Amino acid sequence: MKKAFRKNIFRTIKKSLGRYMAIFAIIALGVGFFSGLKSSKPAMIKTGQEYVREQNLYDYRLISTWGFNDEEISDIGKLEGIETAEGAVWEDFIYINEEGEESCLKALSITEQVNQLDVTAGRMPEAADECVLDASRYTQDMIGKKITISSENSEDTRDSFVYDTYTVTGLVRSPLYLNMERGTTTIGKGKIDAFVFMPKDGFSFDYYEEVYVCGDTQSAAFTEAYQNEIDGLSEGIEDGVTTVIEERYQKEIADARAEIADGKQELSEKTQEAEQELLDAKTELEEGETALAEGKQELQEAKDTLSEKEQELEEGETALAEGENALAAAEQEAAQGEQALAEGEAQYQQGLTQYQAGLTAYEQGVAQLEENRSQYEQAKAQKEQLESAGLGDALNQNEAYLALKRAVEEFEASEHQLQETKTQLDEANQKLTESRVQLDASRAQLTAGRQQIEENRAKLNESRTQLAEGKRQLTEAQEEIKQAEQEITENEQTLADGWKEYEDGVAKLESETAEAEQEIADAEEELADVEEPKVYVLNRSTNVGYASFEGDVSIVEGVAKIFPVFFFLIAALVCSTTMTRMVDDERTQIGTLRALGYTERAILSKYMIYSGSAAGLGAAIGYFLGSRLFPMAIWTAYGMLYGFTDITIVDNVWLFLLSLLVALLCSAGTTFAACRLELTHTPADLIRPKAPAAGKRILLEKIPVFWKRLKFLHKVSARNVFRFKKRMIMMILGIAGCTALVIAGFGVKDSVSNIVNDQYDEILQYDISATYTKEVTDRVLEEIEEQFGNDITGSAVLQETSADAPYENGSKTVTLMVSDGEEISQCVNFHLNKTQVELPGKGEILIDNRLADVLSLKVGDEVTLRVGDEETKPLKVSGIFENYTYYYAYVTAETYEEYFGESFEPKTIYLSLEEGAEQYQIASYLSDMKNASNMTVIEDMKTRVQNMMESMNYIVALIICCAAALAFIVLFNLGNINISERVREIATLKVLGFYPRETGAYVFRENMVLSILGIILGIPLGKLLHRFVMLQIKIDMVSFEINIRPQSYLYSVIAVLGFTLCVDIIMRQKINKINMAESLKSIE
Amino acid sequence: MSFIEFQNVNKIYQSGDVKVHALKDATFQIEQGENCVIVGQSGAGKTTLLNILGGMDTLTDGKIFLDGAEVSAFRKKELANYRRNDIGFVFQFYNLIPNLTALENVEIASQLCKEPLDPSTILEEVGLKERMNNFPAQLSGGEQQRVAIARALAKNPKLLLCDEPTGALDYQTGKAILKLLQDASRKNGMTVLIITHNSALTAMADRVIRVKSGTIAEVHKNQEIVPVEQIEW
Repeated sequence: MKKAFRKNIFRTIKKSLGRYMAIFAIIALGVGFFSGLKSSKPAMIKTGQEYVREQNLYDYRLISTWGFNDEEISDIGKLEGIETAEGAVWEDFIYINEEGEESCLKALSITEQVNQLDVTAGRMPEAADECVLDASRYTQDMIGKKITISSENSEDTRDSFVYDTYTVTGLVRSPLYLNMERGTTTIGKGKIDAFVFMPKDGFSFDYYEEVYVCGDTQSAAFTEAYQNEIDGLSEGIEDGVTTVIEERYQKEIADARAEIADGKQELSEKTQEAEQELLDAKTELEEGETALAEGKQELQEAKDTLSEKEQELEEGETALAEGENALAAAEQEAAQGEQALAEGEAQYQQGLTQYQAGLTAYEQGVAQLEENRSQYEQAKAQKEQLESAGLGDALNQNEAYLALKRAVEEFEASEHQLQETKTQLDEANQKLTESRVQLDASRAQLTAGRQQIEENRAKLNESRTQLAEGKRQLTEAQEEIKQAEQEITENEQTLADGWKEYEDGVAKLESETAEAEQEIADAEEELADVEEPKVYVLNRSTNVGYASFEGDVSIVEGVAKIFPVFFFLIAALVCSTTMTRMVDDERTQIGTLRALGYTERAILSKYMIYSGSAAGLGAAIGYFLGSRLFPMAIWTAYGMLYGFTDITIVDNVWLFLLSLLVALLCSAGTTFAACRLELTHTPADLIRPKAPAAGKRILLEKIPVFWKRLKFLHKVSARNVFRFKKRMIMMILGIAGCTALVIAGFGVKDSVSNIVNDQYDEILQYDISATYTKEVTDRVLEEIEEQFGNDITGSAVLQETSADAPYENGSKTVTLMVSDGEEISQCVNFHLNKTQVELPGKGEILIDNRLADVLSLKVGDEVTLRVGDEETKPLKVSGIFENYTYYYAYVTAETYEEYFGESFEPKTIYLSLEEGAEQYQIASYLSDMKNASNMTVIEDMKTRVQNMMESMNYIVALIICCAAALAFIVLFNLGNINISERVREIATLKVLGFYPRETGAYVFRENMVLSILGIILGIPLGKLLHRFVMLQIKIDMVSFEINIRPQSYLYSVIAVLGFTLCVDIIMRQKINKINMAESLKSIE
Repeated sequence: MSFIEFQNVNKIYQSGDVKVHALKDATFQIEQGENCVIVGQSGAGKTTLLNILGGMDTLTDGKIFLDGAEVSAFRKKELANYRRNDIGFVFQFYNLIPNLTALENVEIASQLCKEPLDPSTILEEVGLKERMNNFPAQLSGGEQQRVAIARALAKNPKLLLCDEPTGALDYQTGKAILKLLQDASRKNGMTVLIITHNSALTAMADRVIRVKSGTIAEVHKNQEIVPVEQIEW
């Protein structure tokens, strides 16, 4: 290439930078959009693939109705097509945090080789009582804290864990959970909030619930090849695993059969044995009884003997007593005799003494008397004197007489007495002698008696001894008898016990035999009932995260189908018009060059290089920016769903080359077409000015009614509009595209943010949902109303539970609201298309439109839900209501109890509050109440969803930026072309005295008209585009209302008009700069 | 004061360091109703003179009056008004708007000013009654120039400025156009200023101004006005 020629190209570019930039920009935009959208899915897929590969996500998940043991897992590992197999267990439990909030966690055992965890903070557990938490639900604050298995869990659940508390050592992400869905559970409120991984030793399972298997696959995840590989291996694995489990089944069945047979055998043996034993026992008992009877007999005899002996003894005793008595009597007698003897002796002695005293006294008396005899004789003599004296009576009175008388008398008496005493003494002597004899005789007698007594005594003593001996013997005998009696009683008892035992034994044998027979029968029945083990080989498509990932990332691909075509079309138009204009502008130059001898090719190459370089540069920059910005923005937006790792940018050379090719086709291709036309003219033709394009009447002019009403300048504009068809199409398409993009952008935002408002203001009208662990009573409600009556506009007590709605390709988890009464309408607005939906009757169910769509149900159809493994009776769909997030259904308590077979336990309160009520204050009051377990303030949900949805703003901003860029490029370029082409015209108008405003209007009125036409076309296009985009965005959690707010249309139109005006203002400056002297110049 | 007065008008174009003195102390007068021809070589400053008088360019120094108003003191807006109401312009290359019919090309000018003449009457006068609804591309050069003249006349301006009106036309047509211009001005009593490099045309003018290297070389009143038909060049 000649130097001057090259210089010419550079100068041309420098001089017409705006034009060059227009081509560059439109190509960059088109390529950026194309490559961005095209590379977003591959980038996301690649990101997913790498993550899945790095974390070794399982290929198959095996479940058997019989569980797995270590041996089987190692057997499975050896199957063909399996690289690694690792057993795992899991258990859902309720966890109550420090604030008392209840959540359901899924505890999974850590697997070493598959589903490796990605630690985002902290470290992996080292001890069995350590665990790691779900990184997307918990923050680092949790590290070091303890997770306690709440006591609210069932015993089974608690038994599944070795410990009560587990220390959190870190936060992890798991490839099992690519997105934010955590699945459902049968406990708590039915929804898993987060996962927690802990070592297998932390669980007390003695078998594995599932086996994760990495297959021997080559293909990357999310590809058809992978699916084919997996499908191909699937059957073999299923057979292999079934065989492994079948082995155990056969063995266990055989074992069970053998066991039953053994049991039967044992039973009969045991029964026989027992019967024999019983028989023996009976015999023994009977013998015992005979022996007892004999014993009794003997005892009786002994007793009789004893009685005789007793009798004898008694007699002996009596005799002894008599003897003793006699002896005693004899002794007494002897004593008496002795005493009598002694008395006699004493009497005798006394008598003797008396006698001797008497004798003495007598002798004294005799002596005295003799003495006195002389006196007496005197006295007698005196007396007789006296008497003789005869004094008669007078004597008596004479004392001396008297005394003499008395002394005579006394002496006489004493004499007499002495006489008598002498007799008496003699007598006494006599008697004494007699007594002496008598005494001696009795003494002799007494001595003899005494001797006899002694003899008797000896005899008696002997018999006493004998008797005592007899008595002792008797006592012994009695003792013996007593013992014997006791023995007999005991024996009798023993025997009775023996009998009882025997009876019991018999009864026991009977019952035990019956029991054992029953047991055997049961075992047999059980054995008959034992189902063959079922093995399920699940692949990744059953993993929610994995399965939805592919679908979710495909969204952009759909958009990528039409947008780039559209952009490239505009790019082609822009290039074409620009280059045509340029070639027109340089017509004379071309002619000159041709005349100078430059070849057609050389001249063509200038323009090809000009536009081609702009396009090439645009394509490169567009590709670079697009393939990075788009995936990043979209990934950021997806962050709310798949926050597992950073995006991996995928560079696709073919994509770049394709973009480049299309870009070159659009630019150089159109340039070629434009130049070819010029170059066919002869140089002479080219040097001469081009005849101005002929004015033409337009179709509108044939409608005089309309045309005549038009202001003159408007007519001019109208005609101008149709003067350059290519530009008109480009302008309309460009502006329509821009409008459509902006509308779609705003629409996406609307649809997304509408959910929040529609869902939480229109549908779920309650503001607080409070769940308790016990049924909510009227009293509780009254208490709340008493406290906050002024703030509450509605309340409902209900049961919130989950059910599965199965359909052809899977099943959806539905939040089931069950209530009694119509209060629910105060809190949830069941409506569809602004029409109220009636509450269902018995056996009827209200479902939301999302579920209706998925299950293809309409009002009047029947639906069967599943709670756990139980299917409900078919329910009639009585209405379909609007809903955007999750899936909801409503039945009455009556229906619930009868059709679901569950008891109605309303534990949840929905409260609708007055605007401006202190929601959080009320919520905190509610959560302080007894049995409070879960509190949801809708405002929080709203904010959360809103935050999530805000990530959509990236996409919207991106779209709006692209739209603005598109509008600018198109308008600017067209403006430029228009002005450069009409410089003379504009200058002439100025010379004619047009004010700048009028000149601008004259030039831009047509732009405005075309813009408005573009906008008008853009509105339905935008609506379509929005619909298309929204249909592509299929997120299971939410569905979007394909509805654009009127404001958004307005904003879009204003925005596009704004872009137009911006360009307009810039262009007006350009017009103002046009020198009027231009009008005087000749046409170049 | 004359209808048009140039008093010591200077115009210096400056681009970068290069100064071009396009008009030097230009001073002359033109009376109302005169047919004036400004003649000079290429680059003599005729066009500059025309541009300044036509309100399309500003002057560097001096004063210009038209009908008592000081044009040189006008600002942009006033200049636009001045062009709009007081000046009619006929270009060498007609400068018709290709998208408008002959009639419309006249109308686009007439609808601008306060007291326009009826476009179709004017077109009739310039002899284009039959071609009124044709687009410029369908008209010959002479016809196009007629339209341009009609456009200028329709505004009923105080001054008709013509820049080489015959420059792009053949001899006969040029003559016809000049005749038309002359007749029209005489009939309406309009002041006409024709700029040309063709000295032959001076014969038809009431007043001739010769320009040479930016200065007014000569201003004289033509005593023997030759009808256009008789002028030969």
